[in-house]
Amino acid sequence: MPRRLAAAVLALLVVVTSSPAAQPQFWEIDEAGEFLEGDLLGLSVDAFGRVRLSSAAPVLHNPASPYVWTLARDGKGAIYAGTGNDGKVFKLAGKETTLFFDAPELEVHAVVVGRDGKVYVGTSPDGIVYAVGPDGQPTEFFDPEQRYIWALAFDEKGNLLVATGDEGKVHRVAKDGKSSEVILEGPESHITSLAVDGGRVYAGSSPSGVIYRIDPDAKKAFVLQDTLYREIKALVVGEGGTVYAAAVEGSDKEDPSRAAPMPTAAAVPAGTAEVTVTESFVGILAPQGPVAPGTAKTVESPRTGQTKGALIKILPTGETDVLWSSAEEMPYALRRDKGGVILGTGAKGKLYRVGDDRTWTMLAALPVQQLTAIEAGDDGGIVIATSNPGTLYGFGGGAGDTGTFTSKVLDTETVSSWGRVRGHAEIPAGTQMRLETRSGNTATPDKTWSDWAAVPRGEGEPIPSERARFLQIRAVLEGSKGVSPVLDSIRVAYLQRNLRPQITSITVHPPGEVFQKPLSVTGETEILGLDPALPSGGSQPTPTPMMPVTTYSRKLYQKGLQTFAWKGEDPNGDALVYDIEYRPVHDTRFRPLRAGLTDTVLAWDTSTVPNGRYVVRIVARDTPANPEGLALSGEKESPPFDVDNTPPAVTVELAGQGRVRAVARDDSSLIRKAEYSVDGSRWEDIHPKDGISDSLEETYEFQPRGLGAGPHVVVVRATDLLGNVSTARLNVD
Amino acid sequence: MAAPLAYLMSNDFEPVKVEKLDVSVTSYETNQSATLERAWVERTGPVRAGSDVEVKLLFRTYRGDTVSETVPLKLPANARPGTYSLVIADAPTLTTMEQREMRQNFLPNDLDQLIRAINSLRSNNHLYLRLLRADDGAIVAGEFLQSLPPSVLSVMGTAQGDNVLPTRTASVWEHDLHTDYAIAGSRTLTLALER
Repeated sequence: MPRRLAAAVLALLVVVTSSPAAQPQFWEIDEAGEFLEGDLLGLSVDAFGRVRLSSAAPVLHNPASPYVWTLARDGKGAIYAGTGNDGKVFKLAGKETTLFFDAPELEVHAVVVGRDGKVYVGTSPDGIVYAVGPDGQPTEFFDPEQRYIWALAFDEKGNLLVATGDEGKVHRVAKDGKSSEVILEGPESHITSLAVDGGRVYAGSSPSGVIYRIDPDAKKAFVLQDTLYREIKALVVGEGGTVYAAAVEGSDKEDPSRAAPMPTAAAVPAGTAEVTVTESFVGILAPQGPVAPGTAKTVESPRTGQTKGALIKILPTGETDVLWSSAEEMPYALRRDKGGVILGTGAKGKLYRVGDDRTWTMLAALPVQQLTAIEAGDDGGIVIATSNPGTLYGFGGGAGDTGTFTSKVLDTETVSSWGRVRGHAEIPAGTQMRLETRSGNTATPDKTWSDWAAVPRGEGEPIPSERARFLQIRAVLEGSKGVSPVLDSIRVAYLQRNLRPQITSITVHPPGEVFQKPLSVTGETEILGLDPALPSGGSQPTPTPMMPVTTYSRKLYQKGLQTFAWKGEDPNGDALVYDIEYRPVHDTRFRPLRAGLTDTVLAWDTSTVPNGRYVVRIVARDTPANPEGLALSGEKESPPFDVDNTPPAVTVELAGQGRVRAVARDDSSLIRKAEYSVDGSRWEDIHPKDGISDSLEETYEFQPRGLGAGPHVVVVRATDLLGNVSTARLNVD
Repeated sequence: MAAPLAYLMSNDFEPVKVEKLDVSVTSYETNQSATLERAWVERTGPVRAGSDVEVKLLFRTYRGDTVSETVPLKLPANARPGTYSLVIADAPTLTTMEQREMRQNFLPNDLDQLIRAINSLRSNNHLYLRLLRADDGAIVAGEFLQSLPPSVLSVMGTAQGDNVLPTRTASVWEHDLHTDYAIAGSRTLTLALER
């Protein structure tokens, strides 16, 4: 990386990571995904984050079974619901529900109504197909060897198609049930879905998520698509032979669907709502925060390997398109709809309409976990089967009377004071919207939270909830005569409480150990943390903060310099400046050394202070991000360290009998070692008389080698603990 | 014979009337027991889906004689490549393994399920062979639902209560070997299926 570019990147990093606590933060909910993160009851959300009242969804029947797996409708409009874990089929005719058939097996995953008026019920495990007459009397129609029956459908000739697992086969059973043949037998463990379009049969499988097109007469199957999903849960055929597949659990193979775009604004038809009034619900705090309107937000399609499911469209030409995908929601049920499909998902019980142009609208969120089947209802509506708990809902018609959006919990990370909340909505005459908030200091709302409090309508009113760390918003929409208000966005301002910065560590490097700047502006060797005014540094002033000492910095030695490095943290993420102070250990008063540093390293020229033992104190201040009076500081003292820039004093004399006596003395640090040299020969170690170098003064007596007939010069060299060196000379005649 | 009758007569669901009992007794004057001493798979090439292998079994009788048996194992045509476990076990051992996976005692939901369970009680003169692969399933109301698709697993996995328990293996081939001995012993072999 070019040096100039690298420096610019460093500077940018520092700027971006500063997050001033004294300035308001903003929490904005304006995208569909952000609304979907919360709980929506009685509301729909389109791909552009517009929230409006959804159609009413009355409970039609609660069968007291955990799962309603499948639905079928007969010619008279009666609905048959297959359930688990008691293997029961319920019949919903008008407003009356009866137990239609109770199978010996646990689960009923497939129900279809035949042209003969009988209801065909596929059970699991030990899969059997029962033909149940209108009177509820069953006869065993087909008993395949396979364990599960996942799907049933009639072909155009009236033969029953039976999709099975845990051997994935499709059986074709004659109308009278007396003969059958296998029309698909592949390597898959399960055939989980079937769809019939004229003479063509489509089947979806698991665990490889293959979509087959079967020619039943030729008993020939063609792989329409080998998807990157583990299961094709549902199939429907639309106009012109377009196949829609609900695919479950993306795999981590190569991912061609990554290029599938998310819904785009250009693809959406113009809104049809009759807008009468546009108003700002409550005024917003004036200053623009870090999340300013128009800030770019990147939306990426999740990788297939990360997705719970997708809706795949396959054109008759073989072209495929991913219309919808989700990393959180799994699709279970499909139904044809004009210009697309209706999709039921879990685990938050959501119903979507997905268009061929990839636009989507979340039509409703029901208080269940999975929407497992969809069937046509009366008056153009639909009937929805759910699981966990198992319930039958009706859905359709005009907008309901009321709906509630409850946001996810906002964690401000510190106790915060609240600014103002603004809900931007279109509110036609006769309709209403109100916002409410509550706050608390536990991540999950509980009894300790404040009660929901309505946000007053009008400018200048702050959020009425108590100061706390967590906040939740609720929007209640009330319609009138089938007309709904439309909520576009909610924006909340808050101010984090300023928290004290901390110095988490101080490293005192050995005396003289310094580090070279990784990036030098001048091209010469520059020392990290050295005051540029000092002549020993030799560097030019630099406006950019320096990098902390890392193991990647090149280590150098420069006498008289003492390097400190530290780490400062601010819980608010505020930018910090540092003041450095020092004191001798025996003194209690700190003296300023440097002030206002943005670096976290300092190379101190200790030649400016007397020898001795010292302590430094690093004070971190968050003044760049907070006004005077609100700014806080935190500090930490270093362990004591020695400053000694004076070499020891050495005296040398003859001690008689050819021996030499040397005395080395230092005023502040221990004598580390002593050596001698005769006539410029190599240095030889000598040892103190007491055998150990442990004091400020050491005496040495030694017999120099090679001291024959003179004259000779004996030089003694002593080194103190901080590396200061001095020598003394003795002439021997 | 007494235990199944006791289960039936004391069931909580409905009164049961036993119309007749068929009992067939064959008497031997020798101890007709044997232990499973060795088990191995004999194959000449790579094991693939659809291929045939032979499972060789060696028993040692009470008198010390050895008896060998060969069980043909035809791998299912849709068996996926990977590592499989071939469990060869006597009746009590296999039942213990299943109960360990079930993690609770079997409690039937109705009389039909109780009768199915009684009819599937295992005999001590059978040796049971199961070819197992790692595959997610569930035990629902005491019934093994092995190898379930992800969508079904996800719905059952979020069910409230403890009526659904996850399982991690699925049997792709089963064989019950009838012998003239009361069999004891078990072996587990590993079989690698190639692509």
